[in-house]
Amino acid sequence: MKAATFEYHVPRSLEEAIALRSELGDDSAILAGGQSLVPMLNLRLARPPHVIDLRAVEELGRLTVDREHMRLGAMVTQRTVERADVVARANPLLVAAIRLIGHPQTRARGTVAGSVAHADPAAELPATILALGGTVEVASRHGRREIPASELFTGFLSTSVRPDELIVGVDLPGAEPRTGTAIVEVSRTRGDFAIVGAVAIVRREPIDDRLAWRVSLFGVDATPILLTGECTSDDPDRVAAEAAAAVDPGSDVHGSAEYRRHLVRVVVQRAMRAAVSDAFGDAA
Amino acid sequence: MTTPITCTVNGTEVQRRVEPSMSLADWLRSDLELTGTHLACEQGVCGSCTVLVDGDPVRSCLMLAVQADARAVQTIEGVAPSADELHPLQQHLIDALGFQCGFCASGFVMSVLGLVEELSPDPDAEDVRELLSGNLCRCTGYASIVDGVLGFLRDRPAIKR
Repeated sequence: MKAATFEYHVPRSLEEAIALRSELGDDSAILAGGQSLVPMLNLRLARPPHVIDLRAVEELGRLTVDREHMRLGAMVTQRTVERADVVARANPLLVAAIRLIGHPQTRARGTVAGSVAHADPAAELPATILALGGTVEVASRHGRREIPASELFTGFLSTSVRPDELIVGVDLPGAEPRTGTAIVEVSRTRGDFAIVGAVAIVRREPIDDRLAWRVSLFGVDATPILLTGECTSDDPDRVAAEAAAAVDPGSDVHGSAEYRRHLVRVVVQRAMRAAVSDAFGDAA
Repeated sequence: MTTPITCTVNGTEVQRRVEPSMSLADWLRSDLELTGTHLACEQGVCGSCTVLVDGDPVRSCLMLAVQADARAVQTIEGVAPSADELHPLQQHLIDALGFQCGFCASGFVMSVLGLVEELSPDPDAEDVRELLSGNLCRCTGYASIVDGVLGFLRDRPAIKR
């Protein structure tokens, strides 16, 4: 099938983009990389009367990295982040997550912000942003506001971004010391959506041998699920068992609830072991 | 309501008015009559529509033609140096009996050309399979395509990272 026709807008400045979005609200769809929107247009799952293309708003293409903080403008592509050495040093988890998304051919166009905005339950970036404690900055005619990841994902393909708001960027904190990270997913073929996946961030506590862990699961519910706790370095597998018990996945054509629950245990075990190993390998 | 775009396609500047909802793939195929780029899934999964935009391989079914404004597009028609001479990658794929029906072929060629610089210095079959994982073939079972790409890589001077 081919996309239905729409009114097409290509704002030349951020002010113009915000004004258009504020005026058109949910009669408009935002076109960033198009890797989530265009398939929906082609299948006619989406028939927006208006499309606002952000390709000419140059400031949205900015990627800024320093020790404390990373800022990805809304049009920064996944490939740009994947290829940036400065990001690999500052946030290896982000690069590892992006490498699991689709294929290089989709990452050449798809944006980090777009994947977060689309909020597919099986996607890597929403779960990664949640685990990292990132925020999304949105703008409207009323001004700007920041939405922490913990308040962003509200349901299946749904976020708390309002219809008259435009995402302008994603902000991530800088790397924490004494911390190890990993992301593990299971999918039927390379580049497919995950059936189930886990992001693990493990921090060594300064005093004794305890570890503070955060695990974010994707593919198990309508939104990514964040679990946190503490453990010692020799029982990451217990975390996996607890995670499997804490979730209530549904069944669909890609996997039954039972299989998903089993996969949660597998991916959390692998991710926790890798993150613990990474935390101890880090000499800092 | 059409929108004007200016871009280069296979090195030639093109100025046209396009319907915004038209995909880059459909524009290349019907407006420019460059039918070497194929359409199958139109969801970005199969890779048969792969073209290069500013040197990067992209799914032309998931790009709107309007998004190609001010970009350089390369299709399979722009790969062979002349009408009498094939690109070494094309020749190696033919020599390896790489394809059967040929529907996926242009997508594979464009993906390899767009991604080859990212290979490690001494790629093996596994590296090549990873490189090709974004393209589907329903005929061959991939071994012949991998052989063709490996032949091409062996003939190239050392690939820089």
